[in-house]
Amino acid sequence: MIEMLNISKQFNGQAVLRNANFSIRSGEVCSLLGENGAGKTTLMKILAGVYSQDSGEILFEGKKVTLGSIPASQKLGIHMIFQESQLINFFSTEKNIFLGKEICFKHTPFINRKYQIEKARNLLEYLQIHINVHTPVKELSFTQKKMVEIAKALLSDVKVLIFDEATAPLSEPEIQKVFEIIEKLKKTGIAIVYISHKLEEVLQISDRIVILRDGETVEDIPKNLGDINKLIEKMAGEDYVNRYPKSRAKKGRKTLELRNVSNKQNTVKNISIYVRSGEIIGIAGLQGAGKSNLAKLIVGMEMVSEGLLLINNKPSVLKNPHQAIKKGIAYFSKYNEFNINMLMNTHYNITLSNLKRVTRFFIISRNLVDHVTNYFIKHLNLRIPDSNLPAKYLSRGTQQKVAISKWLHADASILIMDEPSIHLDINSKVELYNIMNKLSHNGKSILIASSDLRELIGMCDRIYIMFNGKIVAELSAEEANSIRILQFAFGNSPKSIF
Amino acid sequence: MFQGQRIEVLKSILQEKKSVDISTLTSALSVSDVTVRKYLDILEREGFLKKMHGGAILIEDTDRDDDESIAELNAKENIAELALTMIEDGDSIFLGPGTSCYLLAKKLHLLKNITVVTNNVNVLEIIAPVVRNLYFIGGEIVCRDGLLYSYGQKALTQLEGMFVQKAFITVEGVDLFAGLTINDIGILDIILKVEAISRKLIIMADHNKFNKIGLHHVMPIDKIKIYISNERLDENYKKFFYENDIKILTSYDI
Repeated sequence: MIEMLNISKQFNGQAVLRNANFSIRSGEVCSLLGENGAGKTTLMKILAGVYSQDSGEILFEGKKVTLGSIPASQKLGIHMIFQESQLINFFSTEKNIFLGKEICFKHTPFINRKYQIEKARNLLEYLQIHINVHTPVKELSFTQKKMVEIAKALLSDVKVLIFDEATAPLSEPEIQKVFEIIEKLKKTGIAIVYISHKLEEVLQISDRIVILRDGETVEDIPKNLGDINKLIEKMAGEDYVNRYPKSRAKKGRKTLELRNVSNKQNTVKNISIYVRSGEIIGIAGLQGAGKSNLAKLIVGMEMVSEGLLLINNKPSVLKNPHQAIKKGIAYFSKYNEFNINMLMNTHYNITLSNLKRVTRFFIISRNLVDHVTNYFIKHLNLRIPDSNLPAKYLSRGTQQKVAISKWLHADASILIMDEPSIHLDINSKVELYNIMNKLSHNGKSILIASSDLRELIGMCDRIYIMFNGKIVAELSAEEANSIRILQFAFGNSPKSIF
Repeated sequence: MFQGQRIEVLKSILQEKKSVDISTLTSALSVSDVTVRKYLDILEREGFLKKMHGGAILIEDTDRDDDESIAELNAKENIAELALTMIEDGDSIFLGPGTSCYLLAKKLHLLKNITVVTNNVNVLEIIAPVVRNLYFIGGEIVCRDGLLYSYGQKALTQLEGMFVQKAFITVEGVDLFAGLTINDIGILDIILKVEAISRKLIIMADHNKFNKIGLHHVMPIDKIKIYISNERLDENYKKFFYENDIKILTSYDI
């Protein structure tokens, strides 16, 4: 029914999709697999109209169509259920279902509430979801919210329904519930695209499996030819690791250690890891494995409910990030806006972390602020047209270097970085990796949580792999390769040692 | 004494001596060299001194403008420091002629059990006392710009049957299209031979060498898998190397 041919898409000069192909028939469930960054979500967002492709064709029932806007895709019956909830929390279920598609009394602008309520009830009954249509959405569970989104999509004449990681946080019975609904929809001829990291689920529900890797389609097979290990191998790809500028640094004592640490929300379970000075450690894992939660735990943004956190071999309790900073821990969020103040200039951003150093007799010395700022501009090669410009006008790579400068100014010795190279252009990546290498040689400890396997294999001395909140493996740089890491990340243990 | 007091003492020592090395400071302040480096970092950021070659020099007010040649030497020093991190105890290495190789030679005492093969005369005195074995490739000696090194057929034959893990050489130009180029045709064959007998051939080139074309073509730019340069290297090269899976190490002076 739908064919996507030779689709290419670039963001910021980086190719996310390279001549990717995809097709789906009515009444078919096709799963889309691939590492983080392989291009699955982007490809589907193009189909759903969120983006338009740079090149390539989309055929609907044999005829070429131009999408590029959500209404255009929805007109053809293509609907996507995103990972982020698109519902309005304060509205009732019924209001949300009809959001944007309100039914009014003929020739009037007044909404026919009664009709909507009845129709909503029928829809939910059809899907066998037991929710009161008047309940405000914020009171619904995650699963129930997803069901409401499905109901919403069914209002129009749906031909293709795309699920993007819809079942990530669901429990087993909830997932089965979703599958029942999918089976039901299948029978009415609706085509379903299922993006997920859960391989067992994928094998259970799909008729066909398509694997993307580095923006290209590398496999398109019927379900019965799918074997978990083979799927992982296909997803893995080449290990281009020569290009990472890492040289071995002298390792010192342990600077950071976690012993059997868990957090309250149970997204981090019984974790034991350690980092020494001069080491770069990687935390690998799929989305939802708990990498970011672990990072936040270490810097005091989440609370440790069990276990011991040791800094320089001394047990520490970090009640808030401020205490972490005092102990020399710096945090780089994957969201840029968290790391520096976008509205203030470079001088402010760099020196803010340690005002004592630029203060003389209780007054901030302009001279010292300038010295410190210029030092980092020069030594970290910051490309700043005017240091009085608010940070939001700087390139993303430069913003990140400003954040690094800030933490070096505060004498941070342990750097916790969450997806540090995401959205960076190549030049900035090269600079970032080289800075990390130098810092490790200066004796700093660096912990990188990342979904970029090659980055981890290229830059880390050791990699811990997380699955479902736990550490399932620790690999040294020599032992690590994409396939092994993916196998652990998907919750499998590898069959053979490479 | 508190950190603040120690820093004041450090400042007064430097103001008197104008330049001082880390070992003097560690004994004067009774702290470890890690701590001294930390203090030097702090004072460098404040613009009080400049860290250099295992010590520091006082910045007098007239010195605050950067001298081109000091900057260039500093870049080469950083490159040599980075190159050192690529060598492990027990390695056998080749060192070519040139300043960067000379600066690298000065640091070899920090490693153990190194074997060096070289045609660079300037480094012999420095390396001989600190390495396990030193082989000098003899032959005709050339003297250019203060650089003394051997080349020619006789030198080439001595490389026959040898093998090194890592080879460090410098060139006159690195260009995307013209590739690696040198001005002295005499060492062309030596470089090609070294490439054949080494597991990893590493080019050390500061940013000024890029986009420059010397007289004689040595090899295409992507034949080399590891480059070491400084942070001011042209963006286009960083991008090219990364995209072609070539290691590009750039130094950062922090």
